[in-house]
Amino acid sequence: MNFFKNRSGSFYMCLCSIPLTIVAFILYLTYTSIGSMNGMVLALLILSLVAQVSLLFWRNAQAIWLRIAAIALLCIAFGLFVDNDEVILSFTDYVFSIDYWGNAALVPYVIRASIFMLSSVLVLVVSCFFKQDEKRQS
Amino acid sequence: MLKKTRLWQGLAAVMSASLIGTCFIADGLMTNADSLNSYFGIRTSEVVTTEGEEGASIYYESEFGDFTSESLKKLDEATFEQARNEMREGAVLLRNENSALPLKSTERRVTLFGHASYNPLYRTYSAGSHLCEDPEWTVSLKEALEAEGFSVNETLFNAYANDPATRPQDKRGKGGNANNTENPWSFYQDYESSWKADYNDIAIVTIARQGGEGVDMATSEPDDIGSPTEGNISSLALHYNERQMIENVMKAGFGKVIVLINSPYTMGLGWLSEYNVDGALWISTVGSVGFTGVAEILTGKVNPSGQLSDTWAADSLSAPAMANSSGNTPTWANFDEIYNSGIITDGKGLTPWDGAGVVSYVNVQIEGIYVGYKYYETRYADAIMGQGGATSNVGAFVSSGNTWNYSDEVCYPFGFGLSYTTFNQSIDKVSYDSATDTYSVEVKVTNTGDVAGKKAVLVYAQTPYGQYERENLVEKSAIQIVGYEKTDTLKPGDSETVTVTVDRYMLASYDTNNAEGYVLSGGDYYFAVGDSSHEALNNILALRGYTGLIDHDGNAYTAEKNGAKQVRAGLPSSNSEPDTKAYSHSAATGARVTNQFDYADYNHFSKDTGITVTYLTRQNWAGTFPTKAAEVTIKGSEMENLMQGNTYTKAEGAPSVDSFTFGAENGLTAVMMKDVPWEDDVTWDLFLDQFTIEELAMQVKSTPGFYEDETAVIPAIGGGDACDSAGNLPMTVGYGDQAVENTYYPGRGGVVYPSLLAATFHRDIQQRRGELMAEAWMYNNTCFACTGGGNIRRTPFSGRNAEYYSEDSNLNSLIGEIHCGAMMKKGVSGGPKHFATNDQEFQRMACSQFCTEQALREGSLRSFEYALRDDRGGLLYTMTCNMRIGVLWTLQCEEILTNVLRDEWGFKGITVSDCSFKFSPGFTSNRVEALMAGNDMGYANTADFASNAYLEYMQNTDDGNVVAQLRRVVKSKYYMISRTCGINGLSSNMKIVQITPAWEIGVCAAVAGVSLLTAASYVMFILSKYKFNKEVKA
Repeated sequence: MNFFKNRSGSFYMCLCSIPLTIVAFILYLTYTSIGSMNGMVLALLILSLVAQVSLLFWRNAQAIWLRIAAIALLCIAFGLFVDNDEVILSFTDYVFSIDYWGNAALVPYVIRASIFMLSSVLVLVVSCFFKQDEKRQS
Repeated sequence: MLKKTRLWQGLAAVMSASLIGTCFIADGLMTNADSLNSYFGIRTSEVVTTEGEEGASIYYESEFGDFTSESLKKLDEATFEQARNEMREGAVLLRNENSALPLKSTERRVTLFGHASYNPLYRTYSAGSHLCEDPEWTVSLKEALEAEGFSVNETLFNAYANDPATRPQDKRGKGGNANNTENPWSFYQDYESSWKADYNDIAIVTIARQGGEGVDMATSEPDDIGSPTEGNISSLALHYNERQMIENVMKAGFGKVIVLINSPYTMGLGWLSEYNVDGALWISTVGSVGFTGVAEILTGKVNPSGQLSDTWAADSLSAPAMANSSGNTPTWANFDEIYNSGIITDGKGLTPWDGAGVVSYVNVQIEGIYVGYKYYETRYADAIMGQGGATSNVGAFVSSGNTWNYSDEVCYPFGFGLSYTTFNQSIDKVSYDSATDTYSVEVKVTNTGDVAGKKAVLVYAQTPYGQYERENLVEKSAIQIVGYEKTDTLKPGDSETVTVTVDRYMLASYDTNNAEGYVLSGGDYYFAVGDSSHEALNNILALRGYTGLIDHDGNAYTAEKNGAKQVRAGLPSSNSEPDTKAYSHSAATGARVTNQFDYADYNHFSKDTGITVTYLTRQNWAGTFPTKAAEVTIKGSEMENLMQGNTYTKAEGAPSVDSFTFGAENGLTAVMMKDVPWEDDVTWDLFLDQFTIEELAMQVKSTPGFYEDETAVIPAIGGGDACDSAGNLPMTVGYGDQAVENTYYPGRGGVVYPSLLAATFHRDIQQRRGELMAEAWMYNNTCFACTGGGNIRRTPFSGRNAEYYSEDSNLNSLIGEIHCGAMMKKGVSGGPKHFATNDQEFQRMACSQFCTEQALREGSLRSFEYALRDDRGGLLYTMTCNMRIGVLWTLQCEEILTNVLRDEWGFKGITVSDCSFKFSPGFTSNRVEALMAGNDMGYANTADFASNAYLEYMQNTDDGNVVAQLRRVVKSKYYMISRTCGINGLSSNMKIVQITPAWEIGVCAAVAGVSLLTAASYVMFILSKYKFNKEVKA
């Protein structure tokens, strides 16, 4: 259990964000089964997930940049969330123009995936206020 | 210190997320700013009074100056010159054996044969100017020839004047019939001596055909008395007396025999070679001064450069549409069973026009997309490629042997036209620009002959027809025109490289069954040029390695070098799936383009009727070529409801009429709206709030002056107070030259009519025609006007083919954009008609028409598309039509008038029914339904019928959706007027200036603020980290 030894609060928060992101990813995949998929969103979610997992192993204090990158990737994924048919819209575009463009029946799927994505962002943001893991002394 | 560092790093993370979120939110807000402003009633404009002299202003100026007799004279001169140019560049030299033309200077003694040489077809017999027939303004063939130094046989010419017979013409109350059109040869024999001794250098034979509004050419009528065949023939075939005349003229010892085809209807012309006439020139309707151009071509002063905008088949009945059109249009197969059932009712219908006489007719457009050359050339290509049973004798009309043979079936292909010189064309380069989504096709044209001349360069395309298309019944023409340009005059040996711009969009096909939208097929694409569509196709087939190619005369064809090129840029490769995304959304509006017209396809109703129709497919020419009219029945509640026009009921939750503002005093006049964008709902709402409910309803009936000197005057907005200096806005609509001639501009400028305009293939000439039409109407205070050309020539027999550009929808679209678009730029909204599907005159008041969605979109709708699309021609007016799409009246067809026209094409103007005062059944009987579907007004509806119907409906139902639609109609109307010369003369000292709402500034400030804070938090984080590290080291 050395892996969890001397871990800071930020480590555990990052740990929490991973399942949140995974759930968001799965929900987005579910959404794509009924709507259209924006491959960019999937790529961003995976990249963010990779960053979050890397953070678990990266004990360097400079990992804060990786943490911010993970947050940014998630935020952009959220923004590009909606790919309505062939047109890629931002989330806000989608919400504002749902009557014109969108299928209102998809909104629950959008909201559900969004909640998990934003929760992951929130946890990661809060983790930034915590002490970062120190590099392990050999 | 560490805690401070954590604080800053946390804030940096928060601000990063916030910045990204703010950017997305700001983008969403700003993108939808118009909707938000409208919803919350936030003003985006305000009225300001400008300093300086208050008074009238001219917003659209005539290039000929103010309205004076002098300026009108200039306009006259320009218009006459335009008409002559249209003939000079649009007349098509069809035949020129042994270089019979141009005539030598010694060949000037002429005898004119055919009553049409005395009484030619100057114009189309529809609504339009009669003045181009007025001898005061017209140049006859004789006068034109004499002006060029010819001497005409007066004896025979005068005989025509004194003879009761006349040229072949329509049978509508003019006393004509097939037996007294052209005289038998015995008439000419009486004057034989007049050309035996003199006037025998040249015989000019003029053959004419006349149809018109409400009158198609006859698909079957008795041949002239004495005909050995003693049977019926089509009116587009040469009749016995005409055959006798030409046969005898050929034997009469003339030096040369030249034939003028004075017909906008494509006749069977096999007889030109059969009688071996020396030369033939297609001159269509000639307008008032067109004969001047004809005479100049005969003498060689002008080298002809027109090219056909239609296919001239050997037998005009051979078009696959002929089995279900014009005189061959059948009645419903169960007509007897359901007659007087309430579905088809004689005299008990909604108007007298709904009686069995019109409602009982139905045609199924079995031919699909295969209209004109798309049929003949595609079948030829399949014959060469050995596919689809193309050589079967099914559909063969004049082919020798037991097989369908192109060169027997087609006399002159689309795009054909001889010159006194010869040209070589080769495609030098094709490049694709993704920014404009267009191809630039560079074509080098070289004059390889002995005299100077011009050449129209028509670029054709072939798109893939593969497994996907076969499986999903996406039909493809083997060749289609996609662009054109014309060279300047090239001297012998000179070359010019012209660049033809081609929209990639034109390479897409509509896939109704799988993609439910436009697709770019996967496979090989080709561009080609040639002296006709047939040559271009041959050039492609040769490039693809096919052999056995023949020209349209049946001779072996050798492909031109670089006459065709394969194109790959911007297109799916042969291994790719079709690209379904490229045009899935409208380029004009971004709206999804998808299936709209299920009910246009008869098979949609098969579950009720038990009948399935099979449309023509190149997979099986023999099995699907229509040899007889489709027998279909009307059955089932869905069909009956649509037929009776039950398309609108008040929606649940519809707003109350009282929820709208009426009669407000907001001080906005029509002229003040000239720069207010359509999207500025706030300002438009303030404008519309000024109308009382009665005034709103009255606006829809206030169209146009019509005939005589009637000039409808519509009240400006809101009554006296709101009118301000604008006063009332006089508005008339032009109709051809009709409105023009009845006021002060005589309109004698000789519109040669769209068929010849198309055949010029000269963009400048087409544009100039639009400009001059606008000038004439502007002088007449006419701010919107019907223009011809919108419909396709589905068959050669449609009575109004003379008003339409061509059989080809792509060409119609391209010309419409130029011709009508030029009017719009001048401040007059031209309006192509009849939107859409008025492809025959027979029973056009309510005939049901079924077709596939692909045929509708690529045919009838494409034909109007570029003229009406907001991002192309941007016209603001179109006339709807009385035909039915499926069984639903077009003017109740929301899918066409709203979903396609407004949502997909971004059209912002007004739609006006075909003449509705008493004729248009869909408008007179189902007014609310028509209004709600998107038919805005009734043409010539000068009484209060419609207005009262709306008011009564609103009073009875409290349906606020009708108010909303009326407001949209009035908005469209004033949007149009305020962007045309309709506002000329109105005060301009007040104007509306756009203002940026505070919240929009706030959003921009928020983005800037969050950006600054983010940057600051990063700076602080880095500084504190640096300080912390320094302290640790210390």
